Amino acid sequence: MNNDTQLDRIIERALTGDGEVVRSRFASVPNSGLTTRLAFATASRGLFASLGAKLALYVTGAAIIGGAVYFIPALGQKPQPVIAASAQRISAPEAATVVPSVVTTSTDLPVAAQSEHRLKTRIAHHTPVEIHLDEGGTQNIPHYIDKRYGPPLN
Amino acid sequence: MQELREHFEAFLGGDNAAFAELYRELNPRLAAYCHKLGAPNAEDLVQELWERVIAMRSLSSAKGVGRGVVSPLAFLFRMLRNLITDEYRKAKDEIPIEECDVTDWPERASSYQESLEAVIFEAFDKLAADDKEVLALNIYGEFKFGEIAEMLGKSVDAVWQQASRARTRLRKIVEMDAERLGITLPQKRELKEKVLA
Repeated sequence: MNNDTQLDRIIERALTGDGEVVRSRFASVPNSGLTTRLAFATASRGLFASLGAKLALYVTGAAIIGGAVYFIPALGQKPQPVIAASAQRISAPEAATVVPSVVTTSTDLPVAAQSEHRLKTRIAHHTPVEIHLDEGGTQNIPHYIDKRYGPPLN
Repeated sequence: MQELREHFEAFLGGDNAAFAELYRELNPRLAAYCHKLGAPNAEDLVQELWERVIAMRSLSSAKGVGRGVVSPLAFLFRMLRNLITDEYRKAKDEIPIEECDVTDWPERASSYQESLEAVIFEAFDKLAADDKEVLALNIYGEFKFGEIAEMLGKSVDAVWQQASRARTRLRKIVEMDAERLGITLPQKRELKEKVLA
């Protein structure tokens, strides 16, 4: 039992000592790689947070301005009543009355029919004119003789 | 543990000084545990762990990652253990650590104490994974049984019992190896010296 306890102590001491040596081999301060990563993560986090805040601000601003443009012109205006062309009493409906229809006939021809009629009248009263053709003999025919052109030499 | 939680929450909230505190408090201890488990590139693994923790902060603000962590110590420990497992999978094709020839350590040792220590360290490496993990956390990581229980998701009693059993097994391995290598253990050595005198 005594032997076991002594050996146990030796084992414990050896392992504890080795543990201290092993732990001391590893850093307790983050190295440059980790520090850089940490700085980058912090910066990007701040950047995204800043961008997000800016975006939220712009969207809110745009919403407010848009709302103002849409709603403000309508503010302060009283609703205008729609005035009918002829005032009609709408409280009590009038009793239906039978109105006799009047059929009117017009003697005036429509525009297209009038011009056709006019054309027909002109054709009917047209007196034919005889056409005399005066060609003026041969004087109206131009003559041109080339100087170099002559009768064939015999 | 409460202090660690406060540092962790402060770090997630954007406090870089809190990260430095977390690192100072945990990095050597987690790295020592990692190293003692025989993980290749223990330093790179803990570096990877911290990089992930830093990346987590960006996600924390966006998606709330890490906000619901009850025990940062257990959370970090599990992350590290996953990294060690991945590292082992990657290193599968390489020479397994068990095959490394360490039997010549006692012969190279210059004194009796060094020889005995070499036997002890070798015996530690021969422990079963669960035993080794508890002792590595307790002795090399300087974590208390309560903290180890939190990290492993076990009760404090269960962890204490496992540590006790692990120490017994370690002693037995030391005794066997010492006998095999012809190293006399302290009690027997004292008796031998008395007989010779």
